[in-house]
Amino acid sequence: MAGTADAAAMAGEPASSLSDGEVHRGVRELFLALRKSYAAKQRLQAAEIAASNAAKMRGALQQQERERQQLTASAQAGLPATAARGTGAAAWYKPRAIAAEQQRRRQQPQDGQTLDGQGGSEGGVRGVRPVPTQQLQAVKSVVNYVGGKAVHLQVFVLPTAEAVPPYKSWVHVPRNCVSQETGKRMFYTDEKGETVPVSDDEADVEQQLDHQRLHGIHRLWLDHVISQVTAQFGTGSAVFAALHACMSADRACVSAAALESRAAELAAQAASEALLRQQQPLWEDKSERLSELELSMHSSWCRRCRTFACSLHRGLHDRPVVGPIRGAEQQRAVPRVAAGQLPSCGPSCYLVSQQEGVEEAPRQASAVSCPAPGASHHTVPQQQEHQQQEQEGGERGEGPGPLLQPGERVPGLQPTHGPAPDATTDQESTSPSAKQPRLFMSAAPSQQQAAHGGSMAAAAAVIYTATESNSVLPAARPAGSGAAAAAAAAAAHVPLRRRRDSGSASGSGDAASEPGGEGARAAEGDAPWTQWEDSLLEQGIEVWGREPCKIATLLGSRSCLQVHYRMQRLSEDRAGGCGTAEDLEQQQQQQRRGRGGRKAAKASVKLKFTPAATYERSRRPTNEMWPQFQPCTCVGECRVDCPCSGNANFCEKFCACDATKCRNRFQGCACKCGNTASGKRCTNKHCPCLAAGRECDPDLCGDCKDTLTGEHREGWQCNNFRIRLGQGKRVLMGLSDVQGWGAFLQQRAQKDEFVGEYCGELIGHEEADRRGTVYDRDDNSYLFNLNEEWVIDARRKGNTLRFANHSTNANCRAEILMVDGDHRVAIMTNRELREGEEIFYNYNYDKRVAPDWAVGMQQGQGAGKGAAKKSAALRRHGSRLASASDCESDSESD
Amino acid sequence: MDINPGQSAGRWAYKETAWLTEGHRQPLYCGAFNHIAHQLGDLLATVGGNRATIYKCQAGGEMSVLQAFCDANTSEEFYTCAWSLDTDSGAPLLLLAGKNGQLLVVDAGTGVLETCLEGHGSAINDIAVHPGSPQFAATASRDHSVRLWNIHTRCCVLLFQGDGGHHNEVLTLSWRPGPDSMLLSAGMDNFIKVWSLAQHLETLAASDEWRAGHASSFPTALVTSPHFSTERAHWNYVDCVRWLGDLVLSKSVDDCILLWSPDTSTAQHAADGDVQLELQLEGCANVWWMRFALDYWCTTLAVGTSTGQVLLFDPHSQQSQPKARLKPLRAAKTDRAPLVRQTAVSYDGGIVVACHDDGSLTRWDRVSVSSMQHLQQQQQQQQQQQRWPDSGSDSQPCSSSGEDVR
Repeated sequence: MAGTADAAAMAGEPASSLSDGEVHRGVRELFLALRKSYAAKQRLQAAEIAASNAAKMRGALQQQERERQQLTASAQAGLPATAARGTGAAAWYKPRAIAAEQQRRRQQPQDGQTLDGQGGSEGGVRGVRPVPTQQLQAVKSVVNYVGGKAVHLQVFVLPTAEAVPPYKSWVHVPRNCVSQETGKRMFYTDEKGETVPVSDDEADVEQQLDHQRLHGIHRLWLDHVISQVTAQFGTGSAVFAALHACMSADRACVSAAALESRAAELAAQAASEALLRQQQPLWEDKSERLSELELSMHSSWCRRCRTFACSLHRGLHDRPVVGPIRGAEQQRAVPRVAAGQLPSCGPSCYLVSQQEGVEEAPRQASAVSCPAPGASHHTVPQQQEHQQQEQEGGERGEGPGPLLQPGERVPGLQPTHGPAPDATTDQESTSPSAKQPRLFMSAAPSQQQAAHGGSMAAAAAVIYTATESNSVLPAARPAGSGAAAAAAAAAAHVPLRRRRDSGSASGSGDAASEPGGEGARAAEGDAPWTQWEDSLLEQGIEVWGREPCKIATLLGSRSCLQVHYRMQRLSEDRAGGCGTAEDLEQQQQQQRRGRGGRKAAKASVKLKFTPAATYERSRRPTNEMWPQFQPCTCVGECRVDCPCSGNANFCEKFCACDATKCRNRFQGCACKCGNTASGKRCTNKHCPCLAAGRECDPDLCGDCKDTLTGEHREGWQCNNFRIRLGQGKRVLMGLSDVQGWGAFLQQRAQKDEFVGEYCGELIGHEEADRRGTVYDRDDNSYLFNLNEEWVIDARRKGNTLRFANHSTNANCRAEILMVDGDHRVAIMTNRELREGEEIFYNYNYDKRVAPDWAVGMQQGQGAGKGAAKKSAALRRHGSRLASASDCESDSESD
Repeated sequence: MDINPGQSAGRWAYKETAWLTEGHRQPLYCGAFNHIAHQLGDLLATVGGNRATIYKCQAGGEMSVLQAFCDANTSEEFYTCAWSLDTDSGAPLLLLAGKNGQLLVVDAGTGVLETCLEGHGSAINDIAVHPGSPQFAATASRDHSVRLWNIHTRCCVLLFQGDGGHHNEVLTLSWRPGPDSMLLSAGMDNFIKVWSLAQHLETLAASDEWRAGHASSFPTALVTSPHFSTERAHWNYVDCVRWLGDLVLSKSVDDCILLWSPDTSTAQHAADGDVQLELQLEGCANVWWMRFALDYWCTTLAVGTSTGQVLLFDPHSQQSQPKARLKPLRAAKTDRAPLVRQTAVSYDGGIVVACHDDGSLTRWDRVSVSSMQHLQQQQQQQQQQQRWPDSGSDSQPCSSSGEDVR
């Protein structure tokens, strides 16, 4: 395969040097030769398989026959001939006593069944209805024609039960799901009972067929032909046209375009295989992928469904910026617990070795202020601490952890200090710490927060440091860049030092060349650290903070001591301006989060305002379809161009905008009193959520939240969580009083109570039109317009409410509610319903497309009759939408 | 191939021995020899319109009508029939099903309607009786589902539908011989699926123990995912599939029958399978519901054509050309007979019957090649002398069957 594709890649010239006619002839000859050789090969191969298969099959059949022997042993040798006039019937009726006796014997275990019930239609069980044994009675006469002469026969009449209304199989789904199949060829049954394909875009069908042929059971043959032909004639379009012409008589005929794309696929496949063979893939080589991996993992997490790779929203949510970044950082910048409280992970733990290291290197202990990992602290030089203090003012004091004063050292941490201290001079050693305390603090959330918001804080912190390093470091790095560097230096002493540092680092080259570097390297482990490991380390820091023990577990290949030293090294490198890999990483992270990185840290009070969507809604007619909600990606405050407000949707918690400032957020309800008689609240349109066509949101409606956990106060139960909690009634499918099948309520229901959700497949409008033409022909449509993007199709997937029939005087209604950013259809009662009552609701078809029988029904002719005229794409609408009416008959034109 | 000693390795020779037309003149959608009970192997059941007929195919070409049934409901149209066996008494059972979606079980020995099983929401297109345990019958329906019934205890055991099931009418079914019961199904959605019962053996056993007459019905198990599924073998309706050992014979509407090996080894089959053989048909394109049939030992494959002929193949040989081409004598002049909906091949391949679209049946019997040559000369003489329809069949079987029925 690889060889041929390689040849194909090379063979561009021969094709160009040949004329089209020559190519055609050549391809034809080659094709015929290939077909012959392939058929011979196939036959040879098939002969072996067929021989073994035949032997096996024969054994199985013989075995089967032996098993049946005992069953057939008692069987009679022949059947009574009852069809011959005069004799047969008598012969059959005479032994009737025997037959009846036999019948009784069979019926014995089945007491309670009537023997002579005609049809058994009174049986309570609908799904399977076995009709009891019956002696065939009535005799009719029919003819056969043998050799042109009529021969009369006696025929026994089989009594049959009345058939149930037709239905097609469907799958029960508890929630809407996105259809996996679109664009499939569809068929309908015409008046004669013939199944006819719906005329569709033929090109589309051809494309599907091409794909099927290329990957179906003929794929080996096709791949063989393609690779051989392209190897010889190149990949010109004339070649594929010729090949297509050659195989046009074949079963597996593929269009030229599809051949070409398959050839390209094969070539690419061969190339990648060759590449794979050349160089063994190693984990280490994939280092670049980690961040991609992380990104794809994050983007595949659906915040609305709380699951990975949901099909409903197709993942790809923007990661939200939660509040002001600096504020978040400060809040979470909790000093770590003291080192003494950290358990060491074993006898070789770095904590243990550090204890020993104190005696060995007391000199550095006083001079070096490298923060000890796992016990980060504020051993920053005094001046810097001061500086930070000035910058961040009193906000620090708000942090939940104990506040550290400038220059203060955490008690008990004195002995723990930086590794490989010999490698750094005073100046150099201060520079990493200039940056690190903040990074450490924020990157290492406290234990409690680690579970909850730790990763978010870490993310925020990385943004912060990334932006900082981007803005400052590039300016400082070039040794000769005067003004910028000077300005930066003026702003802080740090860059100035760093510049010097960077100069020395670049001058001395590798850290290993510095005194003591070798020792450090030995400590880091013999094998050099791969990019993959570094990358994992970085991720580990983001997740746990600087905790080498945990990160070592993540890495698996290094001890915590090695991790610890490596961490030190990296932070030095970064501070020294050499941490390019990390810079890159941070840049990437910044790009991916995009915006909103540095919003001012003003704690804002929740504003009271009218959301923009409200204005937009008031301007729109209510009978239009609702636009689909799509979380906006606005930065900070939503402005006029926010897609949410433009679509008359509120910004939801899934939007990226700043919740505290966005003027388009729904504020939730704060209903104090509801219907006190029912002991519930949020029962009527006084509830702003209900009025806006939404279910209450536990994140917005503070008092409603308790209902979800059942901890609500007496009389404070929120009544507007019904879809979310699935507080529907039990609905059964049964034979309708009106037509076909119907849905029946199994419990009593009050007025305005929630019956259930109308679920189904979510399909686009284009697909709905396609399916609609078929459903209209079958006169059996389950389509329901949900919003501008989606239509619910309950034909193949749905729940029992799909059987509910239409009525103009309906006892229920359909409402479209916004639940967690999704539109969903709720069926609500219009009046009090008894147990066992059939559910009807008004389908609200558009008047223009309503079928005749539905129009007739509106004039009071009663419920639908089967005779229906076709109409274009009948869809149901929710009650908020246009009112026109119509009826579904569940009958299928069989 | 010594699979079937009766079938010669060389050319096969068959001679037409009888033909007749059923009075309803509706298409005969199905004809089936009794392969379940050895003693009754000469019984042929046909269905057309609302009528079902049992013929006895005697040696020498005689086809006598033993029994005939018709449905009280004149709108009923039987699409399919199958033979089974009462596991208690060994009595032959005839299963009938069609447009109304009810499965009728008739005891052909006593003339008793054993039961009428309901559950399908639409027409039943095919019945497949499990060859090893004949109380289990699977039905393929227009409602996109396949059901497995226990006709002895009269309950629906399994229901094959759902996400992995068919998305259009299911047209055809076949059981794999052998201990691992595999059900093959195919339909209008171009899918060919293999369903394994390995997970449901307990349910099957429970259905044998179950007794009707309780308030609740049998707890039917739902099977949503097939063992194997492909839509890339055919690109149109698949109207007939049969197991050939571990291989699959499948036919769509494009003039060929594929013999291929489905890749059922793993659940996540990367490849669908490989083609072993393509049998070249003629005149079968663009007409659906033209089904082929095999004898019990799967050595003779018979398939009709739209010109009323029957082509015989040996599926075990590596030949894609037919071994014999059977032409109704009555079509000798016009070269055209009504199309063949279904063929039936007897237990050992000795008898081939074609069920035509106009309600007629044609029967061929195997003869030795030498006698065939002799016969051909005779026929040529006859054709010169006689005119259709008198020359339509051999006078011998016609008169004999006429005498019998009177």
